[in-house]
Amino acid sequence: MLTVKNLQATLEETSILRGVSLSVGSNEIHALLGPNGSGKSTLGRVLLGDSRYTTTGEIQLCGKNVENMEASERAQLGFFLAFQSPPELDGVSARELLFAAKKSFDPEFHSSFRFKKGLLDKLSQFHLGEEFSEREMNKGASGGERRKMEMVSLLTLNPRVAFLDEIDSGIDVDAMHSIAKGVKEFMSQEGKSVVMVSHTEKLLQLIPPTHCHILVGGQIVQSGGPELVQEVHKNGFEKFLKNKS
Amino acid sequence: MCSQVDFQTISRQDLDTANSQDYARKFPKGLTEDLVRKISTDKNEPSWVLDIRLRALEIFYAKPMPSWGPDLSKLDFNEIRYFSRASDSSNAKTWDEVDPEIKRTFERLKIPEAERAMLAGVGTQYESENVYHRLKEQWEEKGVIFEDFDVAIREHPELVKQYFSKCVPLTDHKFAALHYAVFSGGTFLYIPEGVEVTQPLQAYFRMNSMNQGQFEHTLIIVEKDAKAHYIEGCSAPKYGSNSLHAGCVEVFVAENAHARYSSVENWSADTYNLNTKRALVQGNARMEWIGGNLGSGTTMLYPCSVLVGDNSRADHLGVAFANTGQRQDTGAKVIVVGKNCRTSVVSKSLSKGGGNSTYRGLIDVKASAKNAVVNVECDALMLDGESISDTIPHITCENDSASITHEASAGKISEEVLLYFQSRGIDEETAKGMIINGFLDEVVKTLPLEYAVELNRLIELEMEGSIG
Repeated sequence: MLTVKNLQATLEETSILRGVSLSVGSNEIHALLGPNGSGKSTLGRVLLGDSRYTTTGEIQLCGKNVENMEASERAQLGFFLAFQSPPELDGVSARELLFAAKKSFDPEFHSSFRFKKGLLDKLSQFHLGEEFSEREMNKGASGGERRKMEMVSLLTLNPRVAFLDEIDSGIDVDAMHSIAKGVKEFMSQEGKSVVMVSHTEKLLQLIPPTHCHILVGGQIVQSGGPELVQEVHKNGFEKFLKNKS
Repeated sequence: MCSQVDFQTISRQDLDTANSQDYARKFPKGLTEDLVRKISTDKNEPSWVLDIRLRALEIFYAKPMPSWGPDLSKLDFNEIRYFSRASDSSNAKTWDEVDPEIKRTFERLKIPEAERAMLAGVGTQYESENVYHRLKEQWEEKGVIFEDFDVAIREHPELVKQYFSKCVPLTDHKFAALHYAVFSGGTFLYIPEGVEVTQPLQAYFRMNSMNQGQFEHTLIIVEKDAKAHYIEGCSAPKYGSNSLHAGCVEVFVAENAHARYSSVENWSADTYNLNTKRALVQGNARMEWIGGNLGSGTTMLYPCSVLVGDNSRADHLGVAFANTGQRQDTGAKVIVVGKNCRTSVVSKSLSKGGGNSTYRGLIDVKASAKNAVVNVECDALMLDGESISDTIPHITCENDSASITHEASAGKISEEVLLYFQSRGIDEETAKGMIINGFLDEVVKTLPLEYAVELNRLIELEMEGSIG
């Protein structure tokens, strides 16, 4: 579904990713762990196609090489990034944004009762009031509300590969449960993949990953199964930092 | 049931294409006393109107050009045709009576369609005179007067004489004087006491021929406890040679009345749009100005509210778009005289391709104006590195009890926001369009839906081919 080979990325002459290789198959959940500043968020943005980064290496999405594709084309192919800090949109509501998004996937898409109803249902699934459909997206919203809106977007657009960048940071326990439920709902469909960046044990307990990678200094220093998550939560990253040096 | 008007399909060609103009030869170019007399005779005006015209002409000659603002040095007063009659019939009551070619123009601009769907009345001016004017019967029965201004001078002389030039004086500035010397056509709207007109009334002003000048006068009187919404649309074809629009709008809002004036001015890039608009607002009354300025080469337009009465209120909402070679110098003036008055000014400007969009504003709180509350917000969005945006606010306050805030922001489209749209599959061009619409939303949403769509469409036309 997603294959990355020797991906390197620099931002304003600072090298951030130094040769990341990763393969994410269908129906897999990959946890991406690592200390602050190790390049986890950068990986998500580079996979999306953030043009501020200069990159080399190979990215294959659903069997296609996407290195030369714009972010919107990658999204249309099935990649979704849940932003760590989703920006406020002046004068554009969630309904307008998601409608335009749907239309970009399918030019024949028309605003319908079903679309509006579906959006309202998803909002209520995350305990967000109806007003979130019409008010300016993320405007004045709390961190938790923004993360829930990312989940509403994910479930509305239903991509193939979802990269969730700290979807669980700074949220209360109820929000954690509704987000975990949302991710499970997404993964209950055939042929979906998730890459999760997380610092909290809780989410990874609620959504047990099938694979785990430790990213340090812009490189994956170790990959393994769910047992790796336990190890990190018990002993921290110290061991991997040492391995690297 | 009403159907919606689809302004979405209007193209740049509909706006920029001119009709034939053989009639233009009938009145010569240039400004002379002879011409002013000829206009007055031609309209069969009473002598007091001619007196005003001649006085205004003298003031025009005596007044200097503005010493501030955009460069007007290329405006050649001798090259402008100040008066022109395109059709022998005027003020038709049905579209079938309108000259077919002129009718087609307004059909391209979707005016008859809008009239059927949602308007209480429509007036359309072509060059110097109104070609069609009609008010729906239900409003006529309530005493509403909606007429071509030329007709109103003949048919409602007392009302016109009482108010004409009492809000914007002849001496206001050079272009106001020019306006009063050669004014022709425009709108007279009178809403009697207590009448609330629930549908908007619209006038559309179209300049067709080369080097044309248009000088329509709009006089709006909203009596006590009455309410009205007047909409103006303007356009002109493109020639590569200058034309001049120096209209004048006077609005009288009586006690406890509510007037809303909306306009979308989309002149061609050859046009100097030097317009004067002012409202006198009495106690407990409210004035709203909503304006979109696009298209013209140079615009100088600062709608003004004079809050005369206590507890009166004025809201100014403006959008300006300056594209390549354009200078949009727009803003708002609010003079607060009464007690407990409130005013808010929201200005949104866009500039692109080297265009210059400037907000120029004046807030003047007089000593008598106790407890005034004034909020000014100016936001500028520059769509590329070569475009210019400026904010020039003047605030004078002679009463310490006033609360005045001024917020200004200027910037480019945020890369992060753009990426966010793209991350949802939305391509760059569509995303930029949505970001711009969102930026303008606060102002655009105050327009009736059809006009909001039209304004968005006009901005879309300005944006076409800008991504590459």
